Parts: sequence; C-alpha cells; structure tokens
Amino acid sequence: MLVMKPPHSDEDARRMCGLLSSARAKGMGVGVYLLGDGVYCAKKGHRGLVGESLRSALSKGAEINASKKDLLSRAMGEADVEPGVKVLEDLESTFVEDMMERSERVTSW
Amino acid sequence: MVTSDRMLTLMLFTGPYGAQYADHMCHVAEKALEKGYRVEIFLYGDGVHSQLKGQNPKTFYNVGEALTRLAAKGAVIKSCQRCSGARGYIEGEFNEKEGRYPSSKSIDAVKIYSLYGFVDMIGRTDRLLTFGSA
Repeated sequence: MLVMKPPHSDEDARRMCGLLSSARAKGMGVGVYLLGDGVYCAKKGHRGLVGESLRSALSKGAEINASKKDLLSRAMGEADVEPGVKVLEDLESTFVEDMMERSERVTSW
Repeated sequence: MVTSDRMLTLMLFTGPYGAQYADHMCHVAEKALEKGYRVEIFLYGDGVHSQLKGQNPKTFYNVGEALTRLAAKGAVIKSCQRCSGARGYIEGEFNEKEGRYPSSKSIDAVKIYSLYGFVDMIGRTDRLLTFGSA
C-alpha cells in the first residue's frame, strides 16, 4: 500500500489502517510505503487509530517503510519515527520492485 | 529502456503544484522505466493540467518537463478527452493520423485521447496505481 496522505486530513489513513489490520488478520503479507505527506503517519507517538494501528502492526512484524528524503524535507529523521519503521533512501525504487515482482495487489491512498 | 513485458499503469487525478501527487507519480514512473517496465500514464480530471505547455514553477519540480522526459524514455502518456475539452485544451476534431485531439496548449509528450484509451490500458496492465483523489 502506497500512502501519500497524512494521518488526520481525511479518512484515507484510517481506511488504510483498517485494510492493513484486516489483511494481516487473514494471514496476508502487507507492505506499507509512506511517501510525501504520508511520512507523517510514521511520526512517533501519534494518538488515535492511525498511531495505534501502526504500532500494533509493527509489533506483529508488519513491514512499514518511510521515504528518507520526504522525512528530511519535513524536518524529521529516523529518531522521529516509530521504532520498527524502515527509513529508505530510495523508497520509490523499492516500492516499484515490490509492487511489480513480489505483490499480487497494490493500492494507493 | 523497456526490457520487461510487465506493465505499470498510473492514473493522475489532481493537477500539479497544489499537491505533490503529480511529482510522486512521475518519480514512480521514472523508477519503473529505469527498471525496464512498460509504463503508461492516464491524466484524468484536474490531472490533465499536467499537460500544459510552458509550466514554469521556478523552485518546484517541473511536472511538464518530467512528463516530456518520461515519454522520451518510452512512457505512453494520454489525457482524457472530455476532461481536457472541459478545461479548454482541445482545438479541433480527433486527428486519426496523429492519434490525438489537437492542442497547441499541450506538450507533445501527452496525447489527448478518448477515455477508452484508459480502458485499453487497464486491459493490458499488470498493476494499476492512482494518484490524488477522484
């Protein structure tokens, strides 16, 4: 799932978290890629559904990736994101490979 | 250069510079082309403003130039005829020879085409991604 929206601008991040939880509950592997304003979803300490869902998913081994350049352009670094979030130098490159070669479905938010 | 028979289709719903969706779409397309995948792009709704000739955003990423680069690398880029017409881009009837509606306001990299062009893309593609809200 490619996420380009911040957690509280509309319902999309909440919907993404619902889909993430449901898919993982059904035993599906899910990769989350946070790009642009989507990196705000990874910010450490978020209260509410998005923060709790991501922390819960991370604690159960979910793969959540954030774009380093988009974090930096928003004055954040690796220390500012939830532990377990993988910060990628070239998120788009990894995302394209995973989407085309290792995934059966892809969605964007 | 396209080296894979796998295809990625990207659909853009929002115009450039109000949000980063067009930038993100171009970056993903660029990576996909670098990795040898076929890339086709369809501009829809306000996304058709990305085809405007002469964009000069100064400090922002230039989406018009990015689309031109992507087309030069092999991306097929079409924009919706009805969306483009509604926004004043179309200046005549469909040109069968060129496979596009005429528009002096659009960059050459983008062909204004019927929405059926998108249907054809869906029929061919392995993955479809949307950028921006419908």
